[in-house]
Amino acid sequence: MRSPRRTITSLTIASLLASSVLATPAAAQQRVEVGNVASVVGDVTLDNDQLRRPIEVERQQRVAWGDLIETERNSQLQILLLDRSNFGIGARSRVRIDRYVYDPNEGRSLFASFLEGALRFFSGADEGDNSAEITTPAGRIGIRGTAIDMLVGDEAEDIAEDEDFVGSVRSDDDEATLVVLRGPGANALSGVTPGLAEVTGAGVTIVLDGPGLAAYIPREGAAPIGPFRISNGGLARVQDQISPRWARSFEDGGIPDEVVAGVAAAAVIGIILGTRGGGDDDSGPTVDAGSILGGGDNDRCEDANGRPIPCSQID
Amino acid sequence: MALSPVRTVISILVFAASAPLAAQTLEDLDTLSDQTVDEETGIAAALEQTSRGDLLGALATLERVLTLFPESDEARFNHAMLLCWIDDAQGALVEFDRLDEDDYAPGALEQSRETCRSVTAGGGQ
Repeated sequence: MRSPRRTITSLTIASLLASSVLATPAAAQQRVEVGNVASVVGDVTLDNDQLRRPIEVERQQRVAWGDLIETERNSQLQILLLDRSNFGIGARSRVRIDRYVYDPNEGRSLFASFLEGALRFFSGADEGDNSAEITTPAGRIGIRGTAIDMLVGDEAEDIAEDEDFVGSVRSDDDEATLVVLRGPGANALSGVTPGLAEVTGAGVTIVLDGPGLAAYIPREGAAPIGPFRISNGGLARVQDQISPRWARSFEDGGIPDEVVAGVAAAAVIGIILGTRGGGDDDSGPTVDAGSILGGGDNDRCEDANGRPIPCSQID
Repeated sequence: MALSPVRTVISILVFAASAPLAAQTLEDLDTLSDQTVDEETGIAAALEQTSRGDLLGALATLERVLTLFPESDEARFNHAMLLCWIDDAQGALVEFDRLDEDDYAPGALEQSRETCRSVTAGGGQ
């Protein structure tokens, strides 16, 4: 039988917990966690109104409304949201999740502030009515079902002004915003919805509706310049800002010694070989898991222990 | 590190059995994140997503792999190829051009570039 003393103790604890909850500031009670840090390298911090000082971010850190993520030099991370939309955040960047609501049956609504640095956004689940709006110091980007790269700050200014279409304009290196749509485009694999971005500044909106199309807002109060097709060089520089570790791996000449020919390319080359040439089907290429797994076997070389080795080493 | 096709198949099967198809909880996201702390399972996860047509999800997965394993030849190649499949031929060709021909089967990169150009309209410059 339950003792009266234990019951009283339990009630006391419950009462204390209740009063504790009531005494907690409203903002703390309403922390709305909407995603996690799926990968992180380098120095990354998270701050919000409820923290006395920023905390170091580790993988699987929960991310909530109002959280400000800040990365240092040579650092980057990826945030996964509940609908599997995600942010790839490059070095020396600041991004805040202002509001995110997701209902698997209704769709997703996202508002975020991108204050500085490099940011890549991939849309998640297609189901429902999805919207995303990202505000920068110079403008606003509305996103529908897409992959998009964005830069804010001096790198945005440098890259944009090297583009012939933009040239030399009066930019603010804290506010300059460069937006590049990456896809999906109209020729994407069947079943993939083409993406679209609306870039707005000073009340003027430019629509990006094809991969490689870009827009540049030089400062707050200026209209976007574009759309223009970004150069290969410009696109490579954008990529380097978003994925600094990947970019540095090429600069270092850091190809590992155990590099393997053939097998490395096998899996996706299978897609290529297995899905092209279906002339009667005008619905576009499709992905066939069987062709993925089966492709490229002819290129596989192994040593006596079954380890993959360069085929050039086989006599 | 490169994967043998057999190990890739096994990894995909393991992934398919454990990973949520449509993440709706933070724990589901943790599971997705766990897949990419290892190069092999991360790439397998991306291939599985590709096979379901979740190309943006696969790209995101490979980008997590490349964050930890930026020199992964297979992840680099697959990332470029996926850009092609979402019709970002320009981005794909920029990435293919950074890869070292010696790291792949003879002619593989050139074949991939040609395929990418033929798949997408007006790709590259």
